[in-house]
Amino acid sequence: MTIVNTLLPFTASAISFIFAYFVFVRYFEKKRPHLLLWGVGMIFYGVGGFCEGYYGAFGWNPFVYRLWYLFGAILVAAWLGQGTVYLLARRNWVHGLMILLALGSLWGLFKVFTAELDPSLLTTSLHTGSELSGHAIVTPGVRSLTPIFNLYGTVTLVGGAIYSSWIFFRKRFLLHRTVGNIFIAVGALAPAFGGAFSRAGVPAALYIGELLGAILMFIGFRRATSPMEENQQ
Amino acid sequence: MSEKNSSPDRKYPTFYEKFIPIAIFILAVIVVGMLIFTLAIGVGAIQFS
Repeated sequence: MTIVNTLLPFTASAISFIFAYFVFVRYFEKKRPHLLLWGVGMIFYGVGGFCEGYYGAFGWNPFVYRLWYLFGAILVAAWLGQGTVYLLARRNWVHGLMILLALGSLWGLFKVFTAELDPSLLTTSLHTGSELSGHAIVTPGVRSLTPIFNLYGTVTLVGGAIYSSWIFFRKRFLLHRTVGNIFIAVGALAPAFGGAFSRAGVPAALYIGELLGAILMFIGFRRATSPMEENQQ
Repeated sequence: MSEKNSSPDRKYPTFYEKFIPIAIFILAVIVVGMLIFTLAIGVGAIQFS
């Protein structure tokens, strides 16, 4: 047990749950579906972080590992990204994507909880060993789900935030939304970079990336929902 | 005939006028780079353990 693999993920988890609380409060005020999906996505983020902290503090547990892989590795980005799709598109086909995501998530749940695990394969030569990795899942067809969900989630969440930021900037309108979306985009990219550096053998990179991601997205959300003074000429 | 101007009359504070387009550009490059990288892995051009 180290500070890196317990404190960092537990802190990221706590921030995610607090973030989710603020998002749900706004959802109950506004009743907009993107807020509901973002809230659910941040709950997934918090569950993932909690499972990582649990692994750091108490070691291997198959149920906690499956929870981590389902919520932290597969679903979180896609559900957050689906929220952004609801925010920006507002068309009927978005409901079709939502149904696909829900069915895909149920399929992921089934695959992860029926997969065979081998904790001796948790670390590889490139991995630091201080963070959870998906290598312990030995059943074929489970880990291949992850890039599909994460690609969809990253493109929609980060791409949507960049697009929103650009639209507001072009019109020089609602500065707080422009700035907030940049924070959200950077925060959403942080775990992806953390994961890449972790695979390359940089210790703690994943957990640092996830903590930074939770903090920056929280700042971005608060910034985007709190108007700031603008000097307009 | 009216002349179209891509830059509106309204302006953000100077810092944001300079910082925001740079940030958006860098982020867009990163996302496009990630997509190309993912595509390269998908078609087998890059082996990633």
